Amino acid sequence: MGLAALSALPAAAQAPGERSAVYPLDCDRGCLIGFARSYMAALKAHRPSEVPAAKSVMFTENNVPLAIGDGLWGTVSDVSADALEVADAETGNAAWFGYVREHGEPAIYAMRIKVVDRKITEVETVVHRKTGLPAPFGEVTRMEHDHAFQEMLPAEQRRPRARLVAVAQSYFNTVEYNDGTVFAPFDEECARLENGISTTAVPKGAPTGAPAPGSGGPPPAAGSGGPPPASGGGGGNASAIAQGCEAQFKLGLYRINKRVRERLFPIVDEERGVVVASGFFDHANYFDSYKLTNGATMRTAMKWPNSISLLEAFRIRDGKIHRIEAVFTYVPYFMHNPWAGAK
Amino acid sequence: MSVIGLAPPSLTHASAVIPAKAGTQGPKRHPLWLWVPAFAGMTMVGVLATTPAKAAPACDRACLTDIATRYMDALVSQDWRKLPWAKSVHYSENSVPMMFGDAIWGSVSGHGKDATIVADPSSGNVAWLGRVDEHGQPAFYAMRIKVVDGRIAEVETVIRRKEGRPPFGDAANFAHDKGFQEALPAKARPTRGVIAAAVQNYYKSVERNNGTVFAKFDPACARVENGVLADTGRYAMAQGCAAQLKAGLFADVGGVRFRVPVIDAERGVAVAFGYFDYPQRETSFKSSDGRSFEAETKYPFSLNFATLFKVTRGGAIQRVDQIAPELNYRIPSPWKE
Repeated sequence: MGLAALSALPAAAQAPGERSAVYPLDCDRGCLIGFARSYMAALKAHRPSEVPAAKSVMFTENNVPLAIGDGLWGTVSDVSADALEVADAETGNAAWFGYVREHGEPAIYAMRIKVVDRKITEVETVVHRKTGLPAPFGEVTRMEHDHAFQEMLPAEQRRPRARLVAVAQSYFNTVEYNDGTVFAPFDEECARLENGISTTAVPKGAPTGAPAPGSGGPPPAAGSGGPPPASGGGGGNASAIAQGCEAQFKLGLYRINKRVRERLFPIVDEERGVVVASGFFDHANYFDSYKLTNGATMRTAMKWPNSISLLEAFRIRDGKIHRIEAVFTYVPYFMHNPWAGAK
Repeated sequence: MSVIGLAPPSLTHASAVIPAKAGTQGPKRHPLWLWVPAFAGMTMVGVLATTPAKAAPACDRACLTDIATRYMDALVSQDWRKLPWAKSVHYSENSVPMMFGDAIWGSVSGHGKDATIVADPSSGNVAWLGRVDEHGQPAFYAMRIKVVDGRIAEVETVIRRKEGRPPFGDAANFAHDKGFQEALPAKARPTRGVIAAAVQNYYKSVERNNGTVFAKFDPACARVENGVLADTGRYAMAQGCAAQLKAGLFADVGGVRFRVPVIDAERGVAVAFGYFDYPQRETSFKSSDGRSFEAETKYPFSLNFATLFKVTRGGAIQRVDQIAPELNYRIPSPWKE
């Protein structure tokens, strides 16, 4: 290597994967959330040209790269006024969880943007429509985002970035191959909203209680025609069987998750204890029935392999998972996330 | 942004079969599959497989048929190891590249005995279309294998399960029209070029959808989608293949992407693989005679199809038989160039 080459080295002396040795300082949390709102306003107005986007912006809808202006941009008729908004000034990412309407029909929606030099360079969206497949789908006019995601934690309840990601990872590790082993630390008050509906609180008017051992395989139907659990195999809301976050995993309700794949954690807010992740739950469905840890038999809702693609927000208080809000939708089994890259 | 979870195995191996040499994912470029614009200003792209892939085919009709049959039997026994694999193998299921042993290889419980097999020795491709069962539940299934030097190098599968919107016919008892299996007398056979052009013109007509019909049709031509004759719903407005195109009943198809990798000139049959992209910017459309009909959905989606065509010597399409699951809008093909 010659001297000329050596002299060029300092230009590449950043931490791996970083474009600069200085974290961006020009767009704080409020600024990032402002970009998210600008994007949603442009979407609502059908004006892709009004997105403050970089020339090289990449946009995906349900893991498919599209041009901004295509996909939902052509069908959207409204955007919810209320949303869960989170941001991470260190990574330049922000996320928005809410709902949209397409020609008047509601769809549950979440998106993540990345901002560089005050331009949006990445837009990742998950849109969950009513396609007839069994999945939670809340009544959007009653969708409430938990305010805890916005609350500043007292210093003693905060955890460093790496630990917050580790806790979110432990949740996915618990979901994956859910056989009753719980790796995640759960707050006693842990609650979860999935596609706009609680899957940890008792559904209104639903009978509750875990299926009895040897009961011949009742699906986790709430008896009310309610939606099925997010990642479980049955035909009803998991909260009809067990309430709270931890109890469902101890029962092994979500056994059908062969893998939780391509996990990314683009947003961490240490002050509020918030982590936003993306990934896939792979429902391999090699089996069409399985046993809970109490001996009851469950039947899978679908007999074929499928995956769900998700954006999921965790609120972690004192090192334990306190709140979860997720938006996910079915995609072909083992679909790849363009944001995850190839390894 | 870093990947912390499991790496997708299909992205870590050059082959979908374990073990394999490390390399890049994605099908090898095939110099004889030409993607061409259908006509100026349209988004449709297609492949004309009019040129033999190999000067000396290593696997004739019987050989290809045998490999397809053995593949399906191996699938049901969930033992892919017994098949003759090339060194580098590419596999996709509903447009997703993956490793063998996963997906339907874990859920399949049987397959139909009344399948349609289309062999194309000149390109080394063979297709098997019929029924599979997953935990006893029937689904429509189309599979294409490419054989190189007597070994399986590519497997492309399209599976339509009983999910979502119709049409979904009686998969358990469905059989394709017997005409797809009947060999034509030598003087009645269309050339490969005639067959490919018929398919090209069919999709060009679907995408143009303004009443202009580029393809020729037999008057008795029928179209079947997932085991259901397309004569209900909007299609009740005009009966027959040509009439439905003349009526402009494909108005919500915003784009067509297709390839024709399998052509059997002895039978006048082709198998096309591709996508109908539905942007759904409108909620209703008008037929060419002014009648209104509703869009398929209010959201964008794509249909990933595997479609059988039967074509006469003169290039008239006699039958169109499609298997097509609904997938993410504009999902990319892992097979395109």
